[in-house]
Amino acid sequence: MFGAYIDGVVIAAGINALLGLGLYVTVSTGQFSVGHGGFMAIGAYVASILTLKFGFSLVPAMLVGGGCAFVVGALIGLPVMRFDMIYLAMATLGFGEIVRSVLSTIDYVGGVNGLRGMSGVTIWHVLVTLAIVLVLAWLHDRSRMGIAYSAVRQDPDAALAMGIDVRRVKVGAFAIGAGITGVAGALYAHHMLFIDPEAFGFPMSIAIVLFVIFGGLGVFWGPVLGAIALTVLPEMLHFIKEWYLFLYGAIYIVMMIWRPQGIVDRAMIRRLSQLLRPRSAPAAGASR
Amino acid sequence: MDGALLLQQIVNGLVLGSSYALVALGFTLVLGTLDLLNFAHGETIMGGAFAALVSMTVLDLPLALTFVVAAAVGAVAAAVVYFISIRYVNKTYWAAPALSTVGIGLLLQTGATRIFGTIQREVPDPLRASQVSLEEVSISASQILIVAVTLVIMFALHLLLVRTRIGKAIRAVAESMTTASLLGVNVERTIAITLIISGILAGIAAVLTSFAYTTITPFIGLNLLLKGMTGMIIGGLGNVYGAMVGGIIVGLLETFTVGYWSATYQDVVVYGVMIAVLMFRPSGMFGAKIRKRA
Repeated sequence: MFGAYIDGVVIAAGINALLGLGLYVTVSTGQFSVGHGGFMAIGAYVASILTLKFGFSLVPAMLVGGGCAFVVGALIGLPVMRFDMIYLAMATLGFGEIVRSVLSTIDYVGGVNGLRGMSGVTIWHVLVTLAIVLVLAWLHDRSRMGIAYSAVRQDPDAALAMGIDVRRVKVGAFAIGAGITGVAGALYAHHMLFIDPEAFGFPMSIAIVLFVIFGGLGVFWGPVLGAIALTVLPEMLHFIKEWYLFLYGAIYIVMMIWRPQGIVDRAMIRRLSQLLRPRSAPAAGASR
Repeated sequence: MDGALLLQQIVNGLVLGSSYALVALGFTLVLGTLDLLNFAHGETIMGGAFAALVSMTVLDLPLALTFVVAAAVGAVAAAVVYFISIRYVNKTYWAAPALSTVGIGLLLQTGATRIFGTIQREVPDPLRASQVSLEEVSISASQILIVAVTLVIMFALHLLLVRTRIGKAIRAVAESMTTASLLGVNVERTIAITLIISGILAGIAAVLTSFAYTTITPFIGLNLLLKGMTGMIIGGLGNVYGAMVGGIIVGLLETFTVGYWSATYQDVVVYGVMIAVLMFRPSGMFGAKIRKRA
C-alpha cells in the first residue's frame, strides 16, 4: 500500500503489537511469562505446515495455529497457576526453551534448518487481525471479566474471597494470551518466509516482554505503542539495526532505573483522559 | 550394557556436572539472599570464558593466572549487576531488578558478539594431553582439575558460610533482610559481597566449562543459565548444598543422554527434567530455602 519498505515496517510493527497484546493478556492477571516465544513458535510452525504441506490458505492456517497455541497455553496455564513469581518465571523460561529444542529435533518441521517457502502476508492481514484483537481487548477491558483479571493481578486471595474463579481467570489468561501470540507467530512465519527454532527462543520472548514493559502495563494499548515504538526505532536509527538487541538491553536497564512501570502508566492515562474529557465542574476535593 | 562405557560416562558426567554445580552455586547464592533471578549470570560466565580465552591465547598467561583473570572479570560483571540492577534500580517495582539483569545479559551478549564474532572458538587446554588410565576408563588431567577445583571451591564456600562473619551475615540476610538489619548487619554491603562472590564463582565456572565444552561462543550464556537453573531446582531453590548436588545430577543427565541416546536430545532432556521437577516437586531434593513472598 505504501511501498514495499514501509509496508514491511508496518507489518512488522503490527505483528509485534499482536505479540505485545498476547503477552499483555497473560501478564494482566499477574502471571509474568518469559516464555511466550514458545507459543509464537507453535502458531508459526503449525500454520506453516498447514500452508506448505496441506495447501491451506493463510487465514485458516493462522487460526488453527493460534488454536493450537491456545490449547498448549491452557495446558501450561493449569499447572503453573499455583506458582509464585520466581517459579513461574523459571517454568515459562523452561517451556520456551523446551519448545525451541524439541522443534530442532523434529525432522518433519525441518529440525535446525527450519522451514522455508511460506508467504502471503499482506498489510491488510496484519491490520485487520490487529484491529479485531484491539476491539476484543477494549471490550474485555470494560467487561466484568476485565475487572476480574485486574482483581486477580492485584490480590488473588481477595479475588477468590469475592467469588472470582481465580483458576479459570488465570488459565484463561494464559490460553488466550497464547492464542493471540500463536496467531502473531503464524503471521510472522508467512512474513519472514523462513523460520527456524532459534527465532523463537529466549531473545524473542524477552523482546516481547520488553514491548509490554516499555509500553506500559497500565492499559491494553500500552504494549501496542511499546511494540510499535520498538519496531520503528531500530528502523529509523539505521546504524543500530543489527544492534537492536543491544538497544533492547539498554532500554531494559534504563527503564528499570527511570520508569519501570512503562511509558503508559496509570498516571499518564489519568492525565490523558482528563485532557480528552470536556471541562466540567471539578469534583469536591479534586487537586491539581 | 558395557561396564567400561558406563564408567566412562559417569566420569564424564561428574566432570561436566562439577562445572554446572559451580554455575548453580553462584545463581543460588544470589537467589537465596536477594530473591533475585540473575538473568545475567550466564553471560557473566560467558564473559569469564572469553577472558580466559584471551588470557591463554593472546596474553599467554599460565593456568593459575587465567583462573584469577576469569574470576576478576566475573566479579566485575557482578559488581555491574549490583550497581545497575540493585543499587540504582527503582525499587517500587518488584520485577525491576530481574528485568534489569536481562538487559545486562543482552548487552554482554551483543557486545561479545561484536568483539569476538559468532564463530566457535576453541579454548586451549594445557592439560588435555596428559591422560590417566584406570582400568578401562581414561581420565584427562584437565578433567581431574575440574573436579578438584570444584571440590576445593565448594569446601571453601562452605567454610565461608559457616565459619566467617560475612558468611553468617549472608545467611542472615538470606533468612530475613529486615531482621538481619535490625541485628546490625550491613545489608547493602552484604548484598554487594554476595554478588561479588557469585561473580567469582561464575568466573571459575567459566574456565572449567570452557575446558568441558572445548569451544565457546558468545551464545553459551543462556544454555549455562538454564543448566545452572535446573541444577538449582533439582537441589532446591536457595539451597547451596542442594545446588552442588543438583549441578552434578544435571551433568550426569546430559552425559548419559549423549552417550545412550543422542546428542540432539541433550538439552531437551535437561529442560524436560527441569519442568518435571518444577511441576511435581518444586521444593527440590533437599528443600527450598527461599523466603516466602507475601
